[in-house]
Amino acid sequence: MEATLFVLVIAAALVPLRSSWGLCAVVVVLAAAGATAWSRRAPVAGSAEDAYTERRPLEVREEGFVSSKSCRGCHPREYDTWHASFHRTMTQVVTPQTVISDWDGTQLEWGGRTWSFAREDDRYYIDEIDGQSRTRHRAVVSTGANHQQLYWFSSGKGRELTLAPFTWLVAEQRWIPYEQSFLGPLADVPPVWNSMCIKCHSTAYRPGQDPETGVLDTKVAELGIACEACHGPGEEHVRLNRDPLRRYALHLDDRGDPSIVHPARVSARRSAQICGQCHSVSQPKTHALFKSWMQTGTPYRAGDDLEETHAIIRRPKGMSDSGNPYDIFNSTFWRDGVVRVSGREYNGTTDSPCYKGGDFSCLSCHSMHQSDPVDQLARGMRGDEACLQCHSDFSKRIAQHSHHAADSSGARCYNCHMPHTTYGLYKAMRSHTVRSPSIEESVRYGRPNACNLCHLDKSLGWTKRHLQEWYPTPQQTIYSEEERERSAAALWLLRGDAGQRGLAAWHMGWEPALEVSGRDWVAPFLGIALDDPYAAVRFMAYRSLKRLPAFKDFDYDYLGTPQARARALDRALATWSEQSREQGRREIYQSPDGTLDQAAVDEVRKRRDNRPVVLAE
Amino acid sequence: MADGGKVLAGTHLRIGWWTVLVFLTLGALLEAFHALKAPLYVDAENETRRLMWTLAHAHGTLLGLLHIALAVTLTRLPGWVRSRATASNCLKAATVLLPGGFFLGGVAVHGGDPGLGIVLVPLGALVLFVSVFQIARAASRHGE
Repeated sequence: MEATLFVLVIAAALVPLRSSWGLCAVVVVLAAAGATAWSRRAPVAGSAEDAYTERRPLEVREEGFVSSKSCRGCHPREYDTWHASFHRTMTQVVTPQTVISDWDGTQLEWGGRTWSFAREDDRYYIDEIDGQSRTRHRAVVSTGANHQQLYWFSSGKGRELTLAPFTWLVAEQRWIPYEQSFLGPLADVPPVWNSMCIKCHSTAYRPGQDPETGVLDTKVAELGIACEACHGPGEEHVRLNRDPLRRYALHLDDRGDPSIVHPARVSARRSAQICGQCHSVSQPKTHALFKSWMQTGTPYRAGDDLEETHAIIRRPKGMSDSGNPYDIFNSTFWRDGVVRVSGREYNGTTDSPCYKGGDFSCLSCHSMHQSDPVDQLARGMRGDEACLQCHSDFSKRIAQHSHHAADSSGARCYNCHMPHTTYGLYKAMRSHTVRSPSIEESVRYGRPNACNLCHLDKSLGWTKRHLQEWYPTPQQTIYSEEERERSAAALWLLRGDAGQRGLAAWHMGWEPALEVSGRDWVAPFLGIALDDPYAAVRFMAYRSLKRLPAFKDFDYDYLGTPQARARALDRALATWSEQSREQGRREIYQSPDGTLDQAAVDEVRKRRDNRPVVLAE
Repeated sequence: MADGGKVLAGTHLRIGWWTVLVFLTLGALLEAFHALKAPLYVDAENETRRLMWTLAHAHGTLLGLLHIALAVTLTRLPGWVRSRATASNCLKAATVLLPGGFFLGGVAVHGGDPGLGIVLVPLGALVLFVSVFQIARAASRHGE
């Protein structure tokens, strides 16, 4: 169309316009082209009309919400940085612009059925083929764009969305069954977007469930996490600022605009709560709020006191294990109450001593509009500066305080006080509970400590000796002889629960840890993890293994058959055995000749914690 | 035609062509910003600056053409004496205020709002309106 119009314009310029016949011809051709374009207009994917026909949640401007489109005109930089963020892409209408997966022509087998992916114009379908029957589903909404992308079908019941059974892994460029994208077996309940994802992947939601029929007439102010999720409804702000005198008075004044919530201008507590509306472990605070939730959603708006509407769930330290892996305490927290899954950083932040001071919030280190979209750390906050902005007295004695060379990874504040003990999206992430390392957290509560997540080859006994020597806090926890002598990371990988095994496997590919601990001994342990019962553990082990020079081209499919996985373990051990070692070290399960002490390893593996683990990331 | 009119026509002819040259040069500079993808001009956060400087270029060029048109008009309306100085001065003022206001408005922007220099624009528009009104009235009264 564009090319046609281009040619027509050129033609128009060439036609001697004094010739009335030529002029008439140009007008007629342009009119015909316009009419053709108009007549071919159909509801395109993503349009409001399409939302009605495809029965997906509607985006409406109600209750004072005006959508990000209204913000763009006055705040182009903020709009642009938000548009580049993964907050925006948490929910998108499926269009050729939003789908990042390899779609058309893909055919997958899962659950005894064949799933055939097809694209027609700008619409995306998955055909479910079960024997002779063929059911066509249209993917109408997607989730995510950074690590993974998931797709949702209209179930046909109101505006309810149900999940397509496959997830696209962005970095790996491959489809995997959705069930395998989490650590642990999922509950046998089909995910419904309108009751599950909606609360954090949309702005100002109303599930709209009919109390009698259960049918969902879901409406949101905006799909994805948009401006008004953090700034509150903008209608009044937009209306007031149509007045240019008001705007310029505000430009010349540093006090900000009271007609909109600015997370950097409210108190640190309220600011953190704005993030905490999603990044927390919480539930509706009262029975009444719980009951009305599926109809009207949450009444919380940015700037409100979150704890008036949300009960923040915390696991008391040492709380006994219910034995149910789906229990929110087991699936979300370590036994010492520290969150172990991603996306729940508010709990950790508010549990930290930094927060108790009253000036600390998420925005102390993060920025939504001046940051890399991947982790949204504010400029300069990637290193020690984040901590030194308050703890400036440490700046000149980092080496003295950390007992590590000042320029080493061991002297970095984050590495000791915010270790990667959180799991999500097939990787380990930093804990947001700022604490000093201790062996108690590992021995009594199972949470790997910062020292042994870097010094992978060292034992808890080694860590205890150093912590006792360096710091006044007593390390009185009693551990076994095995824990005193053997590498803590190896033990987590061999006998830990699935979460511990996953973290150990991830750290065996973490460069700062490999630099400190050496990389020539981890392959057998990663090889063992290639045969782990949990897909997420196998995935992380393979990713770490590939970072070792001898394993760059190691061929393995973490979703392969158990037989293929067992063979991969044998191949990994064989490859490792080919490498020469001078002498073995007992603490990392090596015989004096440098070979793997297979008997000792097998003995520990027999004691693996096989209790089911489900990490509710 | 009185000598004063001839002198004034010559003045506007000179101002007109030089103004066109200045603002065509600005246009070329803006095109260079596009070509080189200069962040201060093409980044999404500088959308307001881009608009302001584009408007400065467009208004400046058109005002240059208006000066030339006024020069031609003065030669065609020899009987026009009374308000021609007002029309002339207002057009000169508009040539400074309008593109200057847009340009300054784009130097420091407040999100979607231009900088305070933009307040020159309505003043420029007002004096341009006065100038054009005087010219139009003169054309009606003294035209052949």
